[in-house]
Amino acid sequence: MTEEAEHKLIDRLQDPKEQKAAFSDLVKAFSEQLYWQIRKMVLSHDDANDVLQNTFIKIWTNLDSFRGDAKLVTWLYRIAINESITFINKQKQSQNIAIDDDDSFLLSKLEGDSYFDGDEAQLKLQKAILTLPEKQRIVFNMKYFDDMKYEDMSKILDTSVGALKASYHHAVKKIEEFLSLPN
Amino acid sequence: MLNDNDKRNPFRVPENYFENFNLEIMDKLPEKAPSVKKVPLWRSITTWSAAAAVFVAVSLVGINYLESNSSHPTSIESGSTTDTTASLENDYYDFIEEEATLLAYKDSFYE
Repeated sequence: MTEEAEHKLIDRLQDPKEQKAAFSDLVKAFSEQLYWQIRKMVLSHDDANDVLQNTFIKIWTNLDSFRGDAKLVTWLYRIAINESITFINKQKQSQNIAIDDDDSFLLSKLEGDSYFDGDEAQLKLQKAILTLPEKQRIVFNMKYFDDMKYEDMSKILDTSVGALKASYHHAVKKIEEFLSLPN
Repeated sequence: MLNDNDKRNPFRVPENYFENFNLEIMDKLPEKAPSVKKVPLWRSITTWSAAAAVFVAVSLVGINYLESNSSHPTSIESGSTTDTTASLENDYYDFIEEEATLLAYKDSFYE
């Protein structure tokens, strides 16, 4: 979305008469993007669907608090990422799993997802990604799969470009080590 | 090692998922209460102050009129009019203070 289009959409979102119609346009413009960000975090399609709904409901109820000091897409991504983390933590809590125990919990999600279409190599890569700490995993997915610019990532994750570059570099190294292990 | 082949998306979605989602989510949005127009605190106080000032002024005029027409005229020196005026002024200030507190000013600050 161009900057001009984004400004027009923001204006319409803040006009009570046009808000709902503008929100529908917002959903159409961003649902797919946000879905994939969420899916890479929660792994299962059913969970990603739930989180995406939660995300848009949160966006809807907090529209008035969006001040335009950040780009709209940055704000949307932040909500999506926070909703994903909250969702995962709630599920772990309900299953008495430690919050920092990502490997086995998310691995079971990955292996249990009926909408995973990858081959053996892709499955191994996803398993490798799961060995990364949560934030590093997010950074890796954003850079490797989405080719997101570090500057944009920095605004979404509120982390310096330098730190993100270092994080990505370490992530790649760790993943390549994992991939080089025999099956 | 990592290469471009590995960048293929291994995840898929049900057919027409996004088209259906975009429609269904609109029905799930919670109703929004009509937004209360935020009035800047200074404007609220000014409005109430003006109303209170009119009230006080009318009261004073009314009291003076009644006293000047009463069968037992009260002299100014007796202090009763002064007492009444002072009492009204105190009431006025108490009223302003109370209204400012009740306005929940924290939410009403003009941004």
